[in-house]
Amino acid sequence: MPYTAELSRTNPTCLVFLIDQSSSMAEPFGAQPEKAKAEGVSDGINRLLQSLVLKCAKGDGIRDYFHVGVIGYGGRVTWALGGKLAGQKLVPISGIANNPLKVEQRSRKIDDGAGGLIEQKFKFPIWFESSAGGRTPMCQAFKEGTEVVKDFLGRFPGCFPPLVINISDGKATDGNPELQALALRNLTSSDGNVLVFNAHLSAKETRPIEFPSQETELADPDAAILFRMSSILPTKLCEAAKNDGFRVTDKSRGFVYNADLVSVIRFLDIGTRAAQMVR
Amino acid sequence: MADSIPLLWDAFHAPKKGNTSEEYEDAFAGDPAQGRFAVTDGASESAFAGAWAGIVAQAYVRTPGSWSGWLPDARKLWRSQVQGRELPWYAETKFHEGAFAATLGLIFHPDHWRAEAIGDCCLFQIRQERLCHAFPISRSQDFDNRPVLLGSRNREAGQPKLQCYSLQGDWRGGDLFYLMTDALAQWFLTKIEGRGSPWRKLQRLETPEQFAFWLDKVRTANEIRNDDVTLLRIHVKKRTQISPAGK
Repeated sequence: MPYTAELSRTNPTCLVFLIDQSSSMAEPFGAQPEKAKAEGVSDGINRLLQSLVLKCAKGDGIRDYFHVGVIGYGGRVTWALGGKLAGQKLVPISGIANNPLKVEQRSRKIDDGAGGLIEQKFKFPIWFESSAGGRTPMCQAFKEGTEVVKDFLGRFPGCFPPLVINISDGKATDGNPELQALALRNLTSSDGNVLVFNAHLSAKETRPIEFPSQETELADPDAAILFRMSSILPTKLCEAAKNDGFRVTDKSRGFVYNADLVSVIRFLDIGTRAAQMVR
Repeated sequence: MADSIPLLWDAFHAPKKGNTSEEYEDAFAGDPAQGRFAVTDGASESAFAGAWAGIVAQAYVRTPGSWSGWLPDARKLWRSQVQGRELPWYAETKFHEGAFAATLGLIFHPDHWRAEAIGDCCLFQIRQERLCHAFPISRSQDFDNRPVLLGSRNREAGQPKLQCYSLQGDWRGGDLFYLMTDALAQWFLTKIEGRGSPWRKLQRLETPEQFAFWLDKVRTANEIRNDDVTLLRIHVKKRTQISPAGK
């Protein structure tokens, strides 16, 4: 059965994020005028990286169950992790854990168990900073992602299939990315095809369409392209989405349209859930 | 005190395949004179869980009476083993979250036994080739849920309440008691559901090498989930089987 390979240090999987950094990403989300889309996405990615690191942390060591890469595309295509990881492609999760760009001290209010609130300080590492400028070379970003995934599959042919998540607020300015996405989805490990998920961000205050099953649910032709670029959710993820209250079917795709910030974070969480089932 | 109860016990254990023995995060302890035994399973998603599992198993066996008699000191001991060390950000975060362990304890009294469980470590009592008790889980399909585990930090407001299950029963000479962590317990129940007698296989194991060989075989056949495995066996000897020296 596909999508059942166990994650281990000798058989890790990889996650690649393609992040739109074009000029329109400086505009705010529809429902949150105070937050630029670029900033919301970088918060989401940093949070996700933190949670992946914590999944793999044992005592004061890290087990390399994942290799992670972040590609930014805005004007040009670059590998977008910062600090010591600048320019690096796929990085084992221990490399991510030990090389944040900076670690911020943040605080939150928590229940003190006696009816009051107390302030709790916590560390929030940052690896990826927001940026917005230029056009949207999405095809080129997919091409770059395909190369590293191909290389990873050569090294780990029995891995849980790599997952590529593309987050964008617009359409490609360098062609139709459908063929590139198809080439990526056609790559396989012995455990199944590479997964490609897409999140479309919206500046409008419209209801997000999460994990649609049919193209007809989407009126916009650009959304239909992203729909066709997205993989059908494997059973495990479909169950995870169902348990979290999403209305999904066995034809649902890893795609969210008109996403606000909350919806992107939920999408990233579901998308990486199978990879997070580390025991 | 269980001085007069003739209990023989031993244990076998192995780390998850692919892990080293230092990465084994179950634990077990036994004191036949006190008639107290424990098996614990440190949750792999928490950090410093192996240390916590070991502390809990030892404390349970050493301290008669209620859990409140040993739990605060056990938590203090766990904190003291980690605190003060220079930790990277992720280890510090995990330390604040605490470690978690499934915990199963078994106590023999002169006329009965009592078991206590938090989480999914299991006890099986076998008498005259028949399974009399499976506790706290009795169906192989029930291992999929995520049980609430015993934490190394006090429960915070809003966290699910700890559910400690208990069961009592009688013991007789010749009874076998098997305490197991979840992967082996699930294998055991699956075999029972297929009308098998899995205790026979476990009973025949005599050395760690035989256990390792057998485990490798069932892992290769995908009969058992790849996880740390612990088996603690207790045999209540018939009084006629006891030599004058009590050995």
